[in-house]
Amino acid sequence: MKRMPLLAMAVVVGVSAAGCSGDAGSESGSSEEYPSGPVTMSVGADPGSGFDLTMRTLVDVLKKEEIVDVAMPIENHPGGASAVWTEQMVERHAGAEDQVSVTSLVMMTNNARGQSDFNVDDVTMIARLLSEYYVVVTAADSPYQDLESVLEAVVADPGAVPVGAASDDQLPFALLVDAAGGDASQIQFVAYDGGGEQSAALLSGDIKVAIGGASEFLPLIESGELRALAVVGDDRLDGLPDVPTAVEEGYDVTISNWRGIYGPPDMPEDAVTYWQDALQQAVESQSWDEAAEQNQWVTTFMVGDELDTYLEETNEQVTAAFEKIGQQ
Amino acid sequence: MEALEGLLTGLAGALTPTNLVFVFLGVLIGTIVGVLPGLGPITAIALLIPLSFGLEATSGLILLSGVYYGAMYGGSITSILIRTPGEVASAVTALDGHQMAKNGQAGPALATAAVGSFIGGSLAVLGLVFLSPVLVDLSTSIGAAEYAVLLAGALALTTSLMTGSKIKALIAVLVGMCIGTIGLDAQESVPRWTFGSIELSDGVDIALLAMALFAVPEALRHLSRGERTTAAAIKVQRAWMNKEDLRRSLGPYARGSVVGFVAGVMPGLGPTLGSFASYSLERRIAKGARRALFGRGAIEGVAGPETANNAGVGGAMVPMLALAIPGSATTALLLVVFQMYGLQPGPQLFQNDGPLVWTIVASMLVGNAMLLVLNLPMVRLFINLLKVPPPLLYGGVIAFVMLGAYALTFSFFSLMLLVAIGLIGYLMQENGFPLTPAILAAVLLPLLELNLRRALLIADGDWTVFVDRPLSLGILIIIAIGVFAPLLLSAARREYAR
Repeated sequence: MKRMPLLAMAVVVGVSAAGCSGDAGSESGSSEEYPSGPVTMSVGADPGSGFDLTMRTLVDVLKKEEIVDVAMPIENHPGGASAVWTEQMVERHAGAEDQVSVTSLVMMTNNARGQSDFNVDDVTMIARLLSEYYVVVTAADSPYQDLESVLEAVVADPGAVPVGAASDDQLPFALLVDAAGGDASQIQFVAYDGGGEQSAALLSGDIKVAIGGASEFLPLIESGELRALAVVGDDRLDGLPDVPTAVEEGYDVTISNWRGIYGPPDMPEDAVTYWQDALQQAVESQSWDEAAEQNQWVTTFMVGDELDTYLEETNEQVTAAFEKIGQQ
Repeated sequence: MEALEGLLTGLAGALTPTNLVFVFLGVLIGTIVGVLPGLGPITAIALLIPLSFGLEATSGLILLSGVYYGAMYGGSITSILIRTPGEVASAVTALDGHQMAKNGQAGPALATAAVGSFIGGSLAVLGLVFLSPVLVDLSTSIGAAEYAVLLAGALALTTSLMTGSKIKALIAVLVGMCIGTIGLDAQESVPRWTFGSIELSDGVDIALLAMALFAVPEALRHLSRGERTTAAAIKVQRAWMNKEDLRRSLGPYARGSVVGFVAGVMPGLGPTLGSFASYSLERRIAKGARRALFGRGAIEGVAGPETANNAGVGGAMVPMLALAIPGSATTALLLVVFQMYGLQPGPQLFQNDGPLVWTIVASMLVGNAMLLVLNLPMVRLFINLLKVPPPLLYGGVIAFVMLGAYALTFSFFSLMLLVAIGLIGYLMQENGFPLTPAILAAVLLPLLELNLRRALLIADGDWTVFVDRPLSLGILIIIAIGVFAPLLLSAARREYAR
């Protein structure tokens, strides 16, 4: 049975060779211009996470639309809600031109919590790609018919209304309760790891209310098992045209989970420009549109000074919100 | 019989030449990654995702599901032969499976594992097809309080797994529980045992822990003794089960299918708990001399868990397909693959993409049959693994484990963690501390804590929640009977004898 490991290695090698061959053929001759070689597209989270899905979709679009013609291997470096990889980008890859990664609001919340030493200023933010709006949901048989009744109940007796939210999605709900005149530090948050777990808890009656990314609840909202009460974001969502925004309901909260692409600190200028262009072309393509629609992503492409201002303002909101919730 | 019709159409789709090729490839790759310590189904699926992007949705999903359940077959092979489970769900198989191999019964052990996997896998697909609506209700009627009580019961059972010193087993459980608490706590993100390292903030990956506590100590044990040839004790008597083996396996097959499937259906439990529960069940209901065989090479202790972990895969597909609620890390990844292909699992999946989903479900039946055909003749071949000189065999194990640990995060830190925990495991094993309870405790404790704290938060700190809810109370009573009845009975017997 000596052949077993050999056979396995042959398969592994075969698999990786097949993975590479697709890219090797398409490499064009231009060796002077950026990019002259493969660019590693890293994901600071597990395969299958939201970050992973964003990056894989993006790379797929970049290849399909023939926007980038060098190899773009995707690497997963999970750890510390992406903080592990951010640290590596800053400390090990500073100045590199062949490292690109994906991040989101989580970089700000990690920093505000003291879980990471680094924030958006410490890396080279290339572009914001999209925003994922939060949605407040209840089970279909819940007595809560609108956002107002939920928030009133939470304000009146926080202990009686446990709210299901992944740790980073507690932020928008805290802002809503604050806007309703309640004490955000008293909210009884129950942490769940994403929409699947939250849906199960809503259906079993464990929790009455949950908040999370819209796409995570969409199938069960459409099938009528869950009811969406409000969307937190600038506009209504295409996939949920009947669900009002929090602003429409009288609560001035619009914070959304932005997702963007960044490079290491001191990334060369030409590389940054190259990726800004490439990403712009990507989000304007047909295949991106399809993916965005399917995932309930709102394409909110933004680069340059506009992006800097946006990030600065959002970061202020995040810090302020954490002060209100109290240190988690 | 709408479901039957769907399944038949699906079979027609799955039996086309192209799809057959992908089923075969999937189960073959699955078997291989299951065999290799260090490569689990998750890593394999993640590696294959970029490749499957180029495929049609049906082919890609058939391939990746094949890898998932194929890995459950493969996992048993190294568990039995060299006591290094390829993945955690096969961990309890090693307890009696490896003893059987040592007794010269590697053949029957591998055969019963393959047959059990086939039965569990196939029955689970049928369960998925015909019982889905009922099961969906079940998986959504169970709340945090019930999970907490169930997991507490399971944790209590971990020490009863082992023959030998109870104190040492308890200490091993405590070590496992300590490892299980490493990382940020799930409710409030308070770091525990992380020593300020963000790498440790997610805790120790279960796959890494399995390698560190099974493969590394086992390999070091053999290598440190300077063995040149495999111990003479491992000589193969039979390559196939005899009638008695088969007869003894039938009960575990049936019970393992049910236990594994139900554990798989519940989001948050999964195949590992199913195989463990099946082992405990078989051990409990065994009588007299049979019971004394457990830990010394009982075929029931192989047949049950191996049936259960494959049934668990089918079970885990139920909430994933029907509600988009993944019950394990692997199904969470499969869910994303579905979404990448533009398919949205959930209540409308079977209406929107019926033919495709039925084809995938049917391909699981085909794949299980293929695995049986693939694995049974291979039993003879696999046994030859034992003829590989230990330095080569275990050197290879260490190499693959290092590779696997690195591939989890692509960081050097994982390697150091593997070595550190591996050495702890080695020292424990050399001093007679059993490692299986340790790893089960490390898997179960975080789940228990999570659900216990959720239940209490939801009840606003009121502990009566566990007896107020009828379902939770019912489970508590069953556990109490399970724990105290044997004690009372033996006390009563002593009294009577006097």
